[in-house]
Amino acid sequence: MKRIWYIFGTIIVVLALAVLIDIPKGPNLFGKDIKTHLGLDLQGGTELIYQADLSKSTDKTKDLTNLISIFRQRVDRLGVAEPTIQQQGSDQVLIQLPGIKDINQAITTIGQTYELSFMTQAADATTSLQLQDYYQTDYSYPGYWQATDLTGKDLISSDVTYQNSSSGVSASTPVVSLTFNDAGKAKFASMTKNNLNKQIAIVLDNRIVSAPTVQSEITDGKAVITGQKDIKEAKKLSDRLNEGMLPIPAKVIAQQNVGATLGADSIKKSLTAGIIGLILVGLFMLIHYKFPGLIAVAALIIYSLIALALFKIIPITMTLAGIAGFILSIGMAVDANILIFERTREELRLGKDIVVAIEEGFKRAWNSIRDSNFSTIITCVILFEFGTGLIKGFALTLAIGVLVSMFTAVTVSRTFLLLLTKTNLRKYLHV
Amino acid sequence: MFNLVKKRTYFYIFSSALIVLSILSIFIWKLNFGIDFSGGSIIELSSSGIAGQIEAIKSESAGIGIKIDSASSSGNDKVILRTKNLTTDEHQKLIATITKVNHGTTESSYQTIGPVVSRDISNKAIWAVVVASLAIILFVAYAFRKVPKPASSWRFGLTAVAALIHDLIVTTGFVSVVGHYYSFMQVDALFITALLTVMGFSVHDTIVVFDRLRENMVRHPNSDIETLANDSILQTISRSINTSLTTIMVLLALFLIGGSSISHFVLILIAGITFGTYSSIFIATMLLISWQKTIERRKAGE
Repeated sequence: MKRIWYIFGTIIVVLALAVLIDIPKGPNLFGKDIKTHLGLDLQGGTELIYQADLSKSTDKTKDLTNLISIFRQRVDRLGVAEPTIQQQGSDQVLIQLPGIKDINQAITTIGQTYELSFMTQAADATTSLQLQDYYQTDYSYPGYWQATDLTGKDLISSDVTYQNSSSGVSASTPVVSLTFNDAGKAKFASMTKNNLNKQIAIVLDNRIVSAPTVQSEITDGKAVITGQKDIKEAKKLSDRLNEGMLPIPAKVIAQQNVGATLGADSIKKSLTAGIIGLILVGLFMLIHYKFPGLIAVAALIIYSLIALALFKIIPITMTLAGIAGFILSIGMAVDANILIFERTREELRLGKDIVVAIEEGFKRAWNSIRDSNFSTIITCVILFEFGTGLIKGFALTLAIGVLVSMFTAVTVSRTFLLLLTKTNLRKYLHV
Repeated sequence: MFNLVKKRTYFYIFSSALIVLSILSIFIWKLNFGIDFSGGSIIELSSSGIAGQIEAIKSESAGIGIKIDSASSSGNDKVILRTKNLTTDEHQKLIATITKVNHGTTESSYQTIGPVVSRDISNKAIWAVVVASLAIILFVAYAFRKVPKPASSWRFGLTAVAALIHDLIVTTGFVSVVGHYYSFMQVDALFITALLTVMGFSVHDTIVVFDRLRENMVRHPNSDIETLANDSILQTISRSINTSLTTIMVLLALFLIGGSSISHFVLILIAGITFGTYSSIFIATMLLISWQKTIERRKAGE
């Protein structure tokens, strides 16, 4: 008997936690803000899939990583709140931009040909342009810049190395090294010769990444850029140079754009459907199983609250398919209760005492509950493994729903029923 | 007491008829492939009165060289167009052209899928169904490994999957029939998701019946398997029907009230779960018994 009260206590604690998490503007638990993540189909936005052309690439993994890094910087420039940029398969990149409505602007910004070039200072605007900073988009560099024939294609490598500082202090400072190929070597030599003590701009996407001053003529094709604040800044510059070396062409092979109103409409409709479904199931259980049906309904509500809290914590990105998976799992969550009640009913018919009948009912139903739910979970794992984003969401919510429903059926329903056998309500427990 | 198992021939005839009709429908009426599988673009437009301008939109689009493969409207203010896989430029031109026809047009959703992605989705879908079937055979065989002789746990697994294939064929047939009359019923990634979910459910139901049969076989080792199977079905039938009813209730709510973008998915689930429940009760166990009986008869003949 004592054990049952412990379980009852645990259920109440878990339930209280779940409710705390479920409240829309919930508290700041575990030091992070918990909120529901909505998929593109619900909050509106744009999804793009790019296919990279890696046919000329020698190191495919590295080049794709570089491409993803380039995409990330460009997406940052679009000002999207929570973008997703991830590799898909061996040569595809999936980009999700919640809230972005202008799909064409997004494609133009993200998909422009990536080119690293070196520019020199010019006197006026006739053959040159003014450029802004790569990271600080509102900062314009002073002066004018004109294009040269030296580009990222002339680079072989860039690294972060250390150089002993000239003042003789023992600490060494990080610098970025550049190595040019033969064609680049000659171009760079003449550029440094003609621009001694002037700035050279390293330009990406028509924005200046760095503008070092030429300190001497460099003829061996090996240069270092000094003046990096720290290793992080040096690494950042070196990364940009590496990305610019062999631009990987990428083209859009699939795109999707959902308006925000459509998404909001979908949420409202499916939530209403879920609530109505829950009420229908509740009514059915009450009519069919009377008082124990009420306990099943309580278990069902507790189930829904815990499942929703889990979706929020994990967090699972809710899509329309995900909501469908959850609503479907409500139907399944009842199944365990139905199995148990039917079994208990049989035991009662054999003339057993109510407490014994409930215990037996649970024990005998457990094999079926475990095996049958396990088969659904297997299907979910396969769906998750093979599915695209939409299907993954469905599989995940259904799997979590099934697992939580197993927990609530065997703990919540069982504990409540057994506790009620100790009260005056005992006589109503006959299913 | 009913003896359903004795009447199994009727269920075999009924199911065979369903399967034949389904296959006929799939071959004659075909399936409505969505852009997930065939590639292409779908544009959803909303503007007041746009549903009446479909013909104008079609001819204007043809004028700029973009063929509208199909156009459907929902209500007065919503139109869904389907075209080949559009490039960014073509898409922009098309929207500009449509805006000329109806000035207030807004594009509420747009989706385009190129051939690489659609091929990828198709391959994955086929693999998913194959892998899921194998996994289920293995799982059922494992779950029923302790089933008493002369039954074999492999027969449990294989008949469960036979019932499952029955469900898949009949559900696909249903999709083909509905798709012939209503364009919303499409074969897309959600269709595969629905099929796999139906598989999960169908096995779920079958396992409950099988589990009862196993229990009865242990309890009454000397009884005839046919009688035991019939008892097991009758003992679990109210649970099977109640569970399917509650599940279908929530799905029906989702179908009638939920958004239109997943209504085909929900309808496939409703049909599939109905077929799945039927096959778990009337096909899976019956097949198991027929198989067992055939083996027994052959042994007796030797």
